Amino acid sequence: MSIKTIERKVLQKNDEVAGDNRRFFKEKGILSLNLVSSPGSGKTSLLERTLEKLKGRIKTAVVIGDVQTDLDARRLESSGVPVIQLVTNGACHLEAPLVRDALADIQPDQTELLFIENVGNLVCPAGFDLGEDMKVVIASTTEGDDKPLKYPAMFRNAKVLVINKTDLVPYVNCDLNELRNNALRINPSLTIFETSCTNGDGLDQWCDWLTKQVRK
Amino acid sequence: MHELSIAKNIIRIAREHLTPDEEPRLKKICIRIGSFSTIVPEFLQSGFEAARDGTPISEAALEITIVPLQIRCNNCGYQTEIEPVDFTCPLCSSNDVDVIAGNEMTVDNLEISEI
Repeated sequence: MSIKTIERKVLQKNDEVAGDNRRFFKEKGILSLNLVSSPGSGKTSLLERTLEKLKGRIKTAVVIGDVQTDLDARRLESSGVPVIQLVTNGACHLEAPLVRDALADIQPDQTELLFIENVGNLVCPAGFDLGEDMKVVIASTTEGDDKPLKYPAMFRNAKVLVINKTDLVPYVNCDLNELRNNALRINPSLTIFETSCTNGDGLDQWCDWLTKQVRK
Repeated sequence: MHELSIAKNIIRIAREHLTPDEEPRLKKICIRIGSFSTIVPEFLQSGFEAARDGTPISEAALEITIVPLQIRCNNCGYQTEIEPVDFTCPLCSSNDVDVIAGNEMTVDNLEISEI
């Protein structure tokens, strides 16, 4: 028996392309956010409200990943912001080469902030670097307060947590303090926002923070 | 459930390191998977078998070594294995810790039988 030692990262190809994407963002001065969450947490609603509020303040573009359909892209089109839909055809996460292909369709000099809306899934997207500046995890109150403990890799790898659907707290079994504490137990350096896309609570704080990050 | 795409990557990497006459003699691919890497070893194993069959390396087995999640405390320097939901130093209770192992996904070596 002969043994070949190779010691290669399984995702080396993805990571190389992610590195190219990261260099592209840096060169062009684009802040890129990878939005991750379970399906139905309100990612697209949060984006709709965010794009509305940032209009005239920051030049944004959106890349949206879905398993099938362009429904999300069509929802966001009315915002007037460039929206690029990626269909993964069954894959449960975005990979760096797909994002690289999408970057060919954005106008870098017309973009200061890029949202990459990942496929709704709290497991798989945690493992794939897209070259983004940071991951933003969105957890909605209807999912309960124990999500960070059940999906620690995602919450550990994120820089920001947006707790969405806060208007529903009186009706669902979710203790906001408990949710915050669980998230901070996994990742003490998380920046946390609390939003409701229905009554608008917290959206100003979130958008002011985004503006500050872009202007940094 | 991204284990199948991980399995395909593993097969591609192995084949890139083999000559055509070595491929059918590949007996084992040894990989390391971190316990915090969101990979379920059983799914990876069955994904590997499905993706391998019908390729020139259909004789190869996948040997998975699990690497436990390990942290280093930035406050007192203590290094230890932890359970994934408890990112706190067991010595000084600081939560300023870095993950130093447990995210791995590496193809280490290939075992090839002689002719």
